[in-house]
Amino acid sequence: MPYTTGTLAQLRVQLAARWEGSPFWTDEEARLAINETLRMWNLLVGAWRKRVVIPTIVNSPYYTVPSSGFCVFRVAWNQHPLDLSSVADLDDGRPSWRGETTAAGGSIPTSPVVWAPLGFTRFVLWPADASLVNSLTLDLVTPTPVLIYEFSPVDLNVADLNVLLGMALRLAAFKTPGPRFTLLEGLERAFYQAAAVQSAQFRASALYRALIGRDPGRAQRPLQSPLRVELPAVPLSPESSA
Amino acid sequence: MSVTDQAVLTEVQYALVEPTVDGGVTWSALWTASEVITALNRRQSQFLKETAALVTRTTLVTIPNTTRHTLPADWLVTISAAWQRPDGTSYPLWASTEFEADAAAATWEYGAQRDPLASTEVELPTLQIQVLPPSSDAGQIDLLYTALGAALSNTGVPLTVPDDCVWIVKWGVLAELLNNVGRSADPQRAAYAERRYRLGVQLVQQILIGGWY
Repeated sequence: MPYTTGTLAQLRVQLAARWEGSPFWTDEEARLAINETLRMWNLLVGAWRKRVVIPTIVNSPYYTVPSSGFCVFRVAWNQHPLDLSSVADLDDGRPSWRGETTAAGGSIPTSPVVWAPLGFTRFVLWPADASLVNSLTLDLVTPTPVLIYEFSPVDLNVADLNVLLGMALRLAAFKTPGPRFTLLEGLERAFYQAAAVQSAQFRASALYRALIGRDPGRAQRPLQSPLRVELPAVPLSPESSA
Repeated sequence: MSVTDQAVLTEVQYALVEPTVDGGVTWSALWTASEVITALNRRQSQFLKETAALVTRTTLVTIPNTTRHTLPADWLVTISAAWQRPDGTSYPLWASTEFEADAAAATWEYGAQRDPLASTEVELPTLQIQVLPPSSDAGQIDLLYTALGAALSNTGVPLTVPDDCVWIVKWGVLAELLNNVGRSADPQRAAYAERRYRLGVQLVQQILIGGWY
């Protein structure tokens, strides 16, 4: 996919081009709508990502997500990817997980095998690493770039620009209740559909189906051609009925 | 977490076409500053409780042969509680109720044993947790919980919500303000704002359970 680096000024000009000559919002409102759209986009698809490597903490299952990340979405221990779990699953399936380390022996693995998010800012590892020399590779979703100044850059896929600006338009129109806001509903739908293309997790969710809702044009497209029943010709005459 | 209450209230003022946009200080006759700030605090707490987006860890020192222990003052909801023995080993305390314990073993309150089996926050005064049965040992409760957010106003206090989730709280505030009984009521836009709040909450829940692929 071709990527481009745009600026707030460029995005705002493109947004203004999609509305009437005298827009009903100020430049500041346009900036806020663009920023909110970018934040939604990041939450939906994890658009901005980075990888960091941190040392493991000896005998502790608890970790803090580095401040450069918003959330962890993948963890590898010495380049071996770990399975995603949850604290509830660990509590159910491995009640003593909090105190177990890779040096404990017995049925406990000799290297960490699962990780579980603990909110956005922490995660846990099982079993805890007992060694000093290992590392964790964290794939992070980073905080959304906030556009403040005209020259504030943002790294965006040009193919998504249209739906992102459409969503910004929809958000900006919230202040004008009535048909203007309602008419822009399709832009919001297109935004979610574009997000679903990028995120299989979102696409497979009940949330996505609820957001997209019923296809309003569905009734206009019959499932098959109208049923045509050919009746045999029956002579209806006094002679035949007798 | 750097987005301030003033920044959120500015956006709310824009969305409600308030004549003055000044970080939530001045409001027209439809809303008062106090009610808007209350709505902001309420939605921040609701978001934190519903999503468990931020988890705090603490250990509660317990008293042997006592069932009830004090929770942290900023406690909102428990994510997981575990019993930590004096030797450092720990295991989860299953969420239960007094009713369940009464039905299973009526004398549970007086039959102390080394390790409690479960915990409950039901049928207790506020900010207390109870272990069932009481422990005869000086263990600790290893508590993972969601903490109360910062007290917001219109003075530039950062929200206790990840920056990327602040828009969710904003829509919650809009839903509350447009749902008031009176001249400010706008059921259609309030319903839309509430839908956006719900969307955000469900997204966060989905990410924290299923990851981001």
